[in-house]
Amino acid sequence: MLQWKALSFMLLGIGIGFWIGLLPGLGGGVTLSLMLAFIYGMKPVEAFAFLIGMHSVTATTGDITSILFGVPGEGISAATILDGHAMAKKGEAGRAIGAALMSSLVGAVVGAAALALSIPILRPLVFLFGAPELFMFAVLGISCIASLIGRGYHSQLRGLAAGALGLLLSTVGLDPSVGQLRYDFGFLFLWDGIGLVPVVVGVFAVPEIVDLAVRRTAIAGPAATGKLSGGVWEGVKDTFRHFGVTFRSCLIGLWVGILPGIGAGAGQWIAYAHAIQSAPLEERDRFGKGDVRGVLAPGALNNAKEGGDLIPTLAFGVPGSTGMAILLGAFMIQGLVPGPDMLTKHLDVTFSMVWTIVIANTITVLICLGFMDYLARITMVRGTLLIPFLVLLVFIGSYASSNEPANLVVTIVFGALGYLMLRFNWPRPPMVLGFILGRMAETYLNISIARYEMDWIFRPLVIIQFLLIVFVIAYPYLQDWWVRRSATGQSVAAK
Amino acid sequence: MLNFFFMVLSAWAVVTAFSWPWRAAFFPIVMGLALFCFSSIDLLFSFFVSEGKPQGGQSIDFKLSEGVPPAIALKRTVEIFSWIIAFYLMIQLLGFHLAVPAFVLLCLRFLGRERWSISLLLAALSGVFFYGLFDWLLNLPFPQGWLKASLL
Repeated sequence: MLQWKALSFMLLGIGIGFWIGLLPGLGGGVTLSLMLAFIYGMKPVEAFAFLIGMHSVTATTGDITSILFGVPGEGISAATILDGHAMAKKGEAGRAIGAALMSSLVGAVVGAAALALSIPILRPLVFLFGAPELFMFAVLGISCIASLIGRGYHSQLRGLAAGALGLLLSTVGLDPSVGQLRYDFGFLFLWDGIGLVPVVVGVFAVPEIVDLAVRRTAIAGPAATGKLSGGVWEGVKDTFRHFGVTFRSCLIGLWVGILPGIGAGAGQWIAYAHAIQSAPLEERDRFGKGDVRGVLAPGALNNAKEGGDLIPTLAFGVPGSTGMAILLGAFMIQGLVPGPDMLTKHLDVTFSMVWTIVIANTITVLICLGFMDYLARITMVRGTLLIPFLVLLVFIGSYASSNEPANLVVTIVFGALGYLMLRFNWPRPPMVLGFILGRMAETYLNISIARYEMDWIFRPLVIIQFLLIVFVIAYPYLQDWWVRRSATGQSVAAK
Repeated sequence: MLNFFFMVLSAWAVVTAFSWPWRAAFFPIVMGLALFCFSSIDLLFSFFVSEGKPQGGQSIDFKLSEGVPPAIALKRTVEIFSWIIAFYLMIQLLGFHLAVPAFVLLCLRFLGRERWSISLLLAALSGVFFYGLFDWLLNLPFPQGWLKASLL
């Protein structure tokens, strides 16, 4: 891995991945597919240094546009907006970027270590999860975010309704089981369903642009002048101040990566919900207004997931995400067959991947830390100067995700919906999570019914997951009750 | 208002799904019913729960700015949505290559009230950036627009 040729290819990959990660719509999967053609002349170690180096940093740099402009680099950077962009508005963009970068590095190291250590351990565990358990995971994920994103029954009901709306929207297009066209309104482009990037960019970025146009100030606002310098290092320190949240988000990321089909798009919200749930009750109101833990959790998850993703891809040839499915193509080009050979005959290639993830992320973070404080100053530029470029980024991102002009209309429609949801205090994250998980949930539900009829409900793991869902929904009320009871107990004792 | 919209939407989705084979209809019907129930219960709570009782309507999400007077905020919201829709129409009419610099120029000059020199410079830079990166380097296929298509 440290031979000059492999290292050079990795640096080239990092350079490409860094800049493409900053462009909305062009995520890790698109980058890999664009660059796959260039690996024909390379040796396996060089090819994977190039591709994995590139893929590793797109997740890291995608967070930067989310924090600075509220425009997600791709679907997996959306959760970072809630607190990252709120921090940027308070003049703490540097701190948010520092936290995102450092947590990403921690995530990458944990992911790589897990990849190196865990293949023999996790193999039997993964096979415990069938279609019913994976369906229940989707329901659990939506319940978690719906329950924890709001305080009180109004918000919880709206969170659950938004989750159901996301799941309903995911059914648009050709039904995978019987080929029935659903809610397509006669439009050909809806046969494949509504694209994820146009929805995410519309729901999250358009309301931010509208708000910037209404305020007519810089993103950071007039009160934030002079607060940016030194912020990046503060963010780095935050990663270790809240190491528990960071590390547990890494573990969630690993698990999300290992399980096929869930993906970082959904996982980031689970990690975000975990960050809220693990915060003391009186501190939960800070989330959404610029709490650094809301940046650390998705940042750590996104990169830990890369290591987790590689485990089933390498060991069983089962890709856990689009990016890994494309990477399987690279295996074929290089004449490698994923499976037991990767742990015996080609162990050197496997370990070169582990080192690539660690080195690529370390280099990216070191470079970024050097000049991100200056990049964060973009948030001080007056809003009216930024608005046309933000609209441009939104439209190019939406179009480039599938080269479909109709995606622009989808972005405008979902932008308006996202704005109305904010205006009327409806939470947006459960809708996006439901939309991301919908196809997977429906497929696993159909398989469960076809394979087990209604008996799947009585599988032991499904019952445990169901109890977990009930607990997650009841958790805020239980915690409120516990706090009230403790307060009453203290006042009685004081008397 | 959104409750009512989601109730109508979910009712329509469920009624539409009833005409499909059950395997295709099952999931949309369940989700449509869930959306209808949650939205209507939330609406009922809004009507019947007493004013003084805390309802806990705060969500952890981005909050729209509140410092601008509502009338001005509404005017600026309509204005920016009009610009976004206008950009889409410009893309359809002229194609991305011409629409990008044209939109940046007009938006900077008339929405941002920037000087002509800055607007022209940034519009030219955005055009070069767009062409150089997305067209020349990444070779993404962009539609040419109705105007150019009708002329060729």
